[in-house]
Amino acid sequence: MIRYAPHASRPVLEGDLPFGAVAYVDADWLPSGGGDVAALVVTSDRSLLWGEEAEALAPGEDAERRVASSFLRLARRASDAVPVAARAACETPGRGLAAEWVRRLLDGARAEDGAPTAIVETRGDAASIAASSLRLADLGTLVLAGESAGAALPLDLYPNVHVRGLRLVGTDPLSPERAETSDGDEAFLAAFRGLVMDVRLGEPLPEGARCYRVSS
Amino acid sequence: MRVGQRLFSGAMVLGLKEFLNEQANRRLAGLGYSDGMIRDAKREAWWWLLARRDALARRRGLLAGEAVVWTDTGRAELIPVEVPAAGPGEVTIAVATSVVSPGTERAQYLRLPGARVSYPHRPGYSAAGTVFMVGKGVTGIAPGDRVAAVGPAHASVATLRAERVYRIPEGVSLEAAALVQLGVIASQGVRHAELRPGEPLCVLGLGLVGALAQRIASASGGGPVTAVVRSSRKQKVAETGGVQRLIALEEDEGALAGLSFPVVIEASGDPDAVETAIRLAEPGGRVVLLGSARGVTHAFPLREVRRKRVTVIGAHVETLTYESRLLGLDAHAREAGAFLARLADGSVPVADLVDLWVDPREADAFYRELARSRDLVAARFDWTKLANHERVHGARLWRPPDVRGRGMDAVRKPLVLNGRRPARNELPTASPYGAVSGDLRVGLVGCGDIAVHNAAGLAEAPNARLSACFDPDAPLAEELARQYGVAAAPSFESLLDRADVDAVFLAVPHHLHAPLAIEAADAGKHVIVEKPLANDLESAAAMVAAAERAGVVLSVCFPHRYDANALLAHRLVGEGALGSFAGTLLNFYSDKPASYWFGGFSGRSSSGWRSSRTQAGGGVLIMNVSHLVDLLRHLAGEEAEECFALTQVVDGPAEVEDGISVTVRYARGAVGTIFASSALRGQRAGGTKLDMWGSHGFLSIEPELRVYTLKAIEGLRTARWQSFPHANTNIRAAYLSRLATAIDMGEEPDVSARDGLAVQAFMEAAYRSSELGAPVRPAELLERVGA
Repeated sequence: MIRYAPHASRPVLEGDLPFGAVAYVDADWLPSGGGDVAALVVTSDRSLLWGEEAEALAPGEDAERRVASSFLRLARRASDAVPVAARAACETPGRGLAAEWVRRLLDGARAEDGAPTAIVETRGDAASIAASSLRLADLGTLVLAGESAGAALPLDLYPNVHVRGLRLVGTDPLSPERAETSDGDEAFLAAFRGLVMDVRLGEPLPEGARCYRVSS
Repeated sequence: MRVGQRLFSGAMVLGLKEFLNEQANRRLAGLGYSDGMIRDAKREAWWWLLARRDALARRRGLLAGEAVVWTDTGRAELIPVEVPAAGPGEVTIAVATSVVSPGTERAQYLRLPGARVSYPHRPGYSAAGTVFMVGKGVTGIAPGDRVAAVGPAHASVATLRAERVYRIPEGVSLEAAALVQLGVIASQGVRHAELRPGEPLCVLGLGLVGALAQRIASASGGGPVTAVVRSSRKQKVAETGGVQRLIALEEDEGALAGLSFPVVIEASGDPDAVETAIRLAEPGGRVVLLGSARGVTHAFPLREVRRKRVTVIGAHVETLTYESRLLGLDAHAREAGAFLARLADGSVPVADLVDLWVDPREADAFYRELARSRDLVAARFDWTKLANHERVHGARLWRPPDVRGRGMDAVRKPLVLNGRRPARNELPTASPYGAVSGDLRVGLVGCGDIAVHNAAGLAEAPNARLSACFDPDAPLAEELARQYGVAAAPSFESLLDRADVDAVFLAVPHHLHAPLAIEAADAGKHVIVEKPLANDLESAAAMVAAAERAGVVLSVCFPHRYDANALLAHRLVGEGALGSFAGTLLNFYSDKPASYWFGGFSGRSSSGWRSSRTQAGGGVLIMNVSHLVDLLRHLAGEEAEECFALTQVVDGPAEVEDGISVTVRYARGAVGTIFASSALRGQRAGGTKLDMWGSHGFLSIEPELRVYTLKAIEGLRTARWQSFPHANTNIRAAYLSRLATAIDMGEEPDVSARDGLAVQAFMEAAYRSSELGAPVRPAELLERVGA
């Protein structure tokens, strides 16, 4: 289990990883107030661990490509959940890898003026969801694509979701299962390594990273 | 007028409002206004200003009516309001009924998170009535039409934009149509669910909105409905609505396991029920947030929402405004029209949904009940309970604002401002005499202190008169006889022998009441006893037995019942002003001079009996407070079940108490306190404070009659302190006249021997309790003496 400790001068990831394992953590999965962090873990015996799910890598399969395809699938599902009519005024406020890819998949669409009619929220904490709810236009759609280590969040749905008629759309969570890839995926998968930054548990997190490759 | 409007707006910008507010606070506080009165006065002034501004803007006059207003935390009042008459594009309605949505108004009343309103607040938003007038440009609606209205607060009159007023289809009652806004809320929620034909549905909560949503969904072709409620008390609502399965969580917590639905409508308004709704949604399902779930959903299951790809849809009625803006149509009117059409074709039954009719004058009591109860589906205010002239009438544009401070907490005398005093209540008081008959000839026995007042009472009573008098101190009797032109009897026996004496009135030392009363009764004379009945309970019981044996009337002179305050108080209690009787407070203050113990207050007849425990029976309680003990039980209509008393002697040399404190418990749970003392410095003139209260009101009988009631009583305003002018009456004349009439008619007198016995038992219980240091039950003492 990995935890995020947002010390003001020196935010770090703490905790334990199995010997020889590497964890992939999207920058948007770090809860702003600190706490347990969702992570996709590749173990030394070539398994992928995601929460309580475990998937074995095929012999000879590139583990990092498999991780990248999981992230890409997450981003695709999130972008697909945005109503077509709302894509022209859609925002994805996250700074992590999934958010970056959602923006690319949505062709960089963003609300030029006024409030967005859709937001893809790749952050999984209550404060971010509440902030996005507030920012959305009336009757807007909030795509919930953030990963959270906790099962449930405290949310006040009344002032924005209920009163302003917002729609919260749940998208499939990240999955370590193998998935077919298409030609269009290659550019994303090839770019993956360049978007991931290495960090060790207990060491200060590098600034500006979209995704962390964490080792002990 | 435009210049006036600009000036008005400009002044607001410049902070004039705050300045005036501060000045008003200071001025009114200086005049003795309480905080509540200041609030009332300022509200009146502010509303006065706004009503006139609106009327001038429309170039229209003003109409007046009544409205339910929450004036402060936990306080609802019916207050006169003014509205501008309908201007262009507007309609003024005489409201017949307005519907309370318990969920919203309960949350606001209790100040739940997300539902805090500022005061004064006017609740309500759905009503029906008849069109009073229409403004220019309004088509399709005419005066006299029956209409449903979206938006008006609970009030007898409302002026609205014509777009929010809908003609009621033929065959639809005003009561049903008054649900229009609730129907709009429910309809749009169902529409957000995008139900497919036959699609199963789950509704959480069967309050008014939940029940309507379920019925509209069923009428729209939805599939079988499962309703999830807290308890099975909503069984009937579910059955009438055609719910296939009702799950009562209090009775079967595990009933939700394994269930899933393509559509779940959350209508309970409980923020934590959102989690349940999401858990009940099947993969790809829709959860519609219809109930106003104010507050935090503590465990929003984000993972489950994502895993099942659930869509959570906010469906507040306000979304119709956004939809109208986006689509360029009147979505509200569309939903209202659809709902009224469903009422007309009978596809959505509503007759069972509103289970309580409320008199608007009892708004405060209603909201208190609403705060306690969660079982109520819906209630409606019935504005036809008000007289027509109160519901809608013309208002003068140039009348000054009434800021005279008639606030609920106006505990002092009403102010006189500019020579105008607020009208005091003028509830008609019935004559203390009632129908008069007979001619009771009374022989007065004992011509001392109180006999002077009794003789005067007899002289004033229209059907009773003094015919003879006797006192062992002959000059006292002779003086009284001369004054009233009657005979002074030489002995008690000779007075009893007189044919012109129908009744004797004993005004003698307490220990002489019993032997003289028994002798008089045996002689066939009716007996009137100056209070108390006797010096002890055993003697009192013997007197009652003698009177019953002889077939004569025995009555105790408790004339305070005929005081104007007491008469009106009795009427108010009888009309339910207090609700369930809950308690009393009686204080009696006096500072008896030392000479009292040797000759009473006047010294007319010298005697030391008043200081003797055996002769007087007691001190301030039996001597002075017995009047008020009778009055209390007369007003309350209940006897004390037990009492605990402490007595004291401050001054001496009397054997009797000059101070007493009694705690009383009544049979049905009411409690009371009596404190009386005749040794309180500075209280020579005496003083009485007598209060009673109950579940719905408070009544102060002495020193000034004031009432605060939540019950609608003709001639009174609810939830307001009201005081009444005191009319002076000769209470002894009234008592004697009423007694004479009862004797003539062969009826039980107002103050019977049993009344006297009950008072005697109470006083004896108090004295016994003081001696024992334990509570004593008057009924047990009565049993012991066989009464």
